[in-house]
Amino acid sequence: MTDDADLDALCGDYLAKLSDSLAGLPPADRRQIIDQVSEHIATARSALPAQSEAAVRDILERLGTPEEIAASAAGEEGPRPPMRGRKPVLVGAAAVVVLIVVGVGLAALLGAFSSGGNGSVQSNLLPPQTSPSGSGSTTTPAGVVIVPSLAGQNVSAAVQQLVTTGLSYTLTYVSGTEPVGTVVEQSPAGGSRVEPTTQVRLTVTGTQVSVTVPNVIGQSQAQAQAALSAAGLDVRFVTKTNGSAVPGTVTDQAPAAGSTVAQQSSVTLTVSQ
Amino acid sequence: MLAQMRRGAIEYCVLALLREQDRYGLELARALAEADGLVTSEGTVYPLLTRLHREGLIDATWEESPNGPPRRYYRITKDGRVALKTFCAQWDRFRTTVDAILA
Repeated sequence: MTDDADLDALCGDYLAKLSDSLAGLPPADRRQIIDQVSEHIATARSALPAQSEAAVRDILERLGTPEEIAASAAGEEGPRPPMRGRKPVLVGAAAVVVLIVVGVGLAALLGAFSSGGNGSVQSNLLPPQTSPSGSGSTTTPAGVVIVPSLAGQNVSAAVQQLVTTGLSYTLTYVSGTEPVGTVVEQSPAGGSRVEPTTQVRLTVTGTQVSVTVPNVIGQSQAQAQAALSAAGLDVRFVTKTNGSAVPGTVTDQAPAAGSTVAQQSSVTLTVSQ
Repeated sequence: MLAQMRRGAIEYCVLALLREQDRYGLELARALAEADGLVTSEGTVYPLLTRLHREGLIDATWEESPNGPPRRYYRITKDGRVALKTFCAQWDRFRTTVDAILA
């Protein structure tokens, strides 16, 4: 029996390999291809009657190997007008860390706005891009991006559009009469011509709740699960043989007790066997 | 051989698939992969879509899906329609010429 987290990891692994294979492309194109493939996987998975490993592997197999996609991308890059010089690839570990940090807020947001269950966060929404790059969606002079008009849209759709244009963003939450997750304000305004490094501020209805992770080390698995669920956190268990601990007790937790995290974040508990 | 012929024609196949209706990525990728010999795998469609997008022949909009995550729908642009029309006319002549010689 495979759980959804394993399947997410399988897909994440595929996307990571694809990202590596596409390293030679201009950042905007690379980003867009990864976005599209990620969306392909999410859409195909949402149509599955059941999330089985075989079905997910089949989706990835039909996509082709990352190398195959990269070869196709290299072919598309071939004869192109020299008007847009290739930019150096700006993907470093630091950038990835920044993306993951921003992604946590997004994940919490999606968790809050989707099923609300303890399922994993859909990975169709990639973290925002913070590296400067040309716009993928509009033809504009080099170095200028047109800010999409986002007011009234659902925040996930709005963020997707910003990611597509290569703009980074911040989210501010307010209460309002609109449905939760609606973009009520944006700055700069839609249609503005801005530098690709501009950060767009979105004001969204709803609240992002952060919680403090309680200490559950030494508790039984059931007690720990109850405590974390009560705090609004998801739980994952890893079992490990531990000679000194009573079987079934929590011997380690990540993140540590006292950490502040977004609601619905997942806490991984190591349980002695 | 096939790869070269494919390379010249496939982008117009994408444009033709979008002529009557907007489609999302998975739908396009599957349609092309199912057409025998057009693409080697579904994923190879995305670099092509990225280029068509960059060249302004197609356009994309996000739409909510009743079941599942939002989908990016691709739409043919005015420039895309012009390019497709030109290709169709050339293809017709080309095919007739080659067929006549091969026959």
